[in-house]
Amino acid sequence: MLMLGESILSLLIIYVPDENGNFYTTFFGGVLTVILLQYLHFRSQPHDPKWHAMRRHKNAGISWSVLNQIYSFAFVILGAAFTSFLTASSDNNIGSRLVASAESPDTKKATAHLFSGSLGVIFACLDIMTVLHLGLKESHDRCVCEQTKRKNVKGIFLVFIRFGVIVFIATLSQWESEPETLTLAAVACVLFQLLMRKLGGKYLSHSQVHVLDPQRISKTNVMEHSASHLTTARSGN
Amino acid sequence: MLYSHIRQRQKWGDTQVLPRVNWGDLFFDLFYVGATYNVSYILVENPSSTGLLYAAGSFLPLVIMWVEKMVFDARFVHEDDLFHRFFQLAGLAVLAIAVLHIRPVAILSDSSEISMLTFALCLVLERLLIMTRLVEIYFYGVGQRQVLQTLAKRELQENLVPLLFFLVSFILAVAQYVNGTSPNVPIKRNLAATAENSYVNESSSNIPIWLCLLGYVTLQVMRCIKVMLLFPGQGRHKEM
Repeated sequence: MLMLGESILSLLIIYVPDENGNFYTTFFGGVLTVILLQYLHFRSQPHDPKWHAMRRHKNAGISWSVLNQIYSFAFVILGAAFTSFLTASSDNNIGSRLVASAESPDTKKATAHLFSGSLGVIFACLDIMTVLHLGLKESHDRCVCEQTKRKNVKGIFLVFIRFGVIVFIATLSQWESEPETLTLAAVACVLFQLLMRKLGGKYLSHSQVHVLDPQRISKTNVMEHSASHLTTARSGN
Repeated sequence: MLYSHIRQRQKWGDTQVLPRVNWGDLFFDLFYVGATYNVSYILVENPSSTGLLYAAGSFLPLVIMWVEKMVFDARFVHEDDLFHRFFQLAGLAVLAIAVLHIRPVAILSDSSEISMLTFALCLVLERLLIMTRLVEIYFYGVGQRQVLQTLAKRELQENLVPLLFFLVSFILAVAQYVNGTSPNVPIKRNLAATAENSYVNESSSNIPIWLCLLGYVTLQVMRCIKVMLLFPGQGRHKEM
């Protein structure tokens, strides 16, 4: 929560003498990104302390603890990147932070790398922490139907998409360094992540029951099913 | 009350009770608002790998303080006594001075500035405070005595390595300061988004901040090894 607040501070406590369209695009995009990240953060937390990684297993707990610190640092970097974007968005940089070669392409590119890298780390950390809360076995079991033993294709596809989003946002700075574009892409990616969470609740849920399709039950299964009932009926007598 | 013993909050096998967050915890968090702001300013001023190094080297060791306070508060409790009040005050003062000296790269890397050596000194003092508390737990902790003494001894050993890194960083920063030139321009601290009179001094060195970062990394690696590989499994840790 502290780090989310710092990201908001980085957007709000800033002096820009000349606000223009680019500034407002970046500003509102940044605020929207942080608000959605806040929602994504709390959406990714377990609902009960007993489901937390620190309660589940010692290895998961210590991993979560270390990862949480990296996650926090990534938020700090994100906030710094937003501040740089907003100051760079102003037409008149006199009075703003005098950074070393503030308008140079190298600085712009470096800031873009910090932005996309930190957002990629945030997404990756959230996903890894979710796995730590659930456990590898539970996570794997959600990709396989318990009853039919068939692979949960939709769920696995969602996992790959989430991985793809992380790679996309982490490498976005390689071909784009404009603050407005990066900010809007960040908003889209966070919204997409929230959509993935929603779909994950449907296709990767633990409580999902896969009803046996009678047409797909083989004859052998039917015979075994009938035989077991017969045995039970006889033993009951 | 002048002094009260530190008590074990929960014993092994007891039903877990979640401690409540109190006003003191929230106040402690406020220092980290300032810390994160100063750290982000490092990156704004220098969005390069060097900036990232200084941001990580100044932020991550401070995060350990937060984690360790949380871990302590989850396991131990004490009455509202004068000794622990002053102890807490000392901890907050050290943290505040550390946060105050999180400065841009040009200043932290400048051997003629005191920021780096003050920051390293604060990390050393913070480790010493934690180790003092562990000694107190070892000798005066109330609860399952064997558990407390084993825990205190292990954590004391664990804290020696990062202390060494921070101490070397401090000594190096002092040596560089003593041998460095005096600054030509008076140091001015300005608020956000106004000009920072930072300048590049030729006598810059990144070794102290590397040592601060390595101290943090070493502590985390040691804890991971201790918990993942050396912790007795199958409930045997309860056999005390």
